[in-house]
Amino acid sequence: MRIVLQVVLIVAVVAMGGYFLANNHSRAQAWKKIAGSLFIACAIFAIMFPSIADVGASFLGLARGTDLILYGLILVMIYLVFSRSFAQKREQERIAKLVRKVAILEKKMEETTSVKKSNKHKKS
Amino acid sequence: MGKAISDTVVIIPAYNEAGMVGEMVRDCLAAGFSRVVVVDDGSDDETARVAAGSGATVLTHALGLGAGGATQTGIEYALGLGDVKYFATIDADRQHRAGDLVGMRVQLVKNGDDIVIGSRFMEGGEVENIPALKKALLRAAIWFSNATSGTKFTDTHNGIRIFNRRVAETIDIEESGYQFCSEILDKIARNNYVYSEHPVRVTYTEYSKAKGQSILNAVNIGFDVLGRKIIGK
Repeated sequence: MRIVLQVVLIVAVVAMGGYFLANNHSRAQAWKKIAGSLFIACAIFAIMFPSIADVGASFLGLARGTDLILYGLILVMIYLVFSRSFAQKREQERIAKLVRKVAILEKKMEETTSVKKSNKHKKS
Repeated sequence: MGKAISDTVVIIPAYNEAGMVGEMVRDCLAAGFSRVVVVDDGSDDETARVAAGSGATVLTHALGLGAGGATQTGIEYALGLGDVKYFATIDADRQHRAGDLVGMRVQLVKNGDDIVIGSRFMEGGEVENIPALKKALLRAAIWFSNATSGTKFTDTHNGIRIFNRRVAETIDIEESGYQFCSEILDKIARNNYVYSEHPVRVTYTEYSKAKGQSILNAVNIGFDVLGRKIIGK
C-alpha cells in the first residue's frame, strides 16, 4: 500500500513541479527555477525515504521530521503570500497607468474629431 | 459670477456621483474657474453625462482605480494642456465650496507656495454636521499622518487643495485609493514643497455621509501608511 502512495505522490510532485518550471519563461526567474528543482528533488527523496526528514530534523535540533517539513511549509507559504502581494501591487500600478493613458487618449481623440468637424462646418 | 480664472484647472475625481457632481461643477464655474475636469472613475451611473452636461471636461476610466488614481489622471491631463499654472482638487459630493478654492489660489500666488491645503480644523475653518466618530477618527488620522510624514497640518484628509506646476509634475500619486491623502503629505515632506493651509468650510450632508469613505477604511489607511513606511516607498 505504501509503495502505491509513494508512486502517486512522486508522480504528482513531478507533474506539478514540471508544469511550474516549464511555464515560467522569464529569465529573471532563473533562481526560482533552481530553487524549484531543488524542492522537487528534496520532495522525491523525502517521499522515497521518509527517514531522511528525521535525519535533517535532528541535525537542526528538531524532534521529528514532520516538524521540519511543517516549518519548511510555513516559510514557503509566507514567501508566497508576500511575493504574490508585491506582484499584485505592481500589476495594479501597471493597470492604473494603462487606464489613465486610455482615458487621456480617448479625450484627445474626441477633441481632435470635434475640431475637425467644426472646421468642416466652417468650410461648407 | 467672479472674474474668469483660466490659469487654473479644477480636478474633480468622481465615482457614482451623478447626484451631486453637476452641482459641484456649476459651483466651480460660478466661482470663476472656467476649466473644470471631472475624472469619472468607472462609474455605473450617469456621472459622466451629468458632469459633461454641466460644463465640465470629462475623462472616463474604463476601470475604477480609486480617488487617488483618478486625481493623478486629472493632473496628467491638465499638464498636457500646456497653459495651466495651477491645479486644484475638490471632492464631487458637495462637501466643499468652490469659493474656498478662490481664496486658496490667492494665497498660493501671493505667498509663492507650492501647495495650499484646505483645513476645516484651523482657525477660520468650519465643519458642519460631522458625526462624532468621524471627527475622532480624523483627529487620530491627523496626529498619525503628521507623526509619520513629519509635516504639521491641522487637517490631513481633506480633498480640497491647490498646487503649482512643480507639484503637478513631480507628485506622481501612486496610491490609487483614499490612502493618497497620506501619500501627498509624505511627498510634501520628501520633495520639500513649500506648503500652507487655508481655512475651508466642510459640510457633511446625508448624501456625503452615505457616499464618503467608511469609518473602517481608516484602519486600512493606517496600515497602508505604516506599510509604505516599512517598504520605504
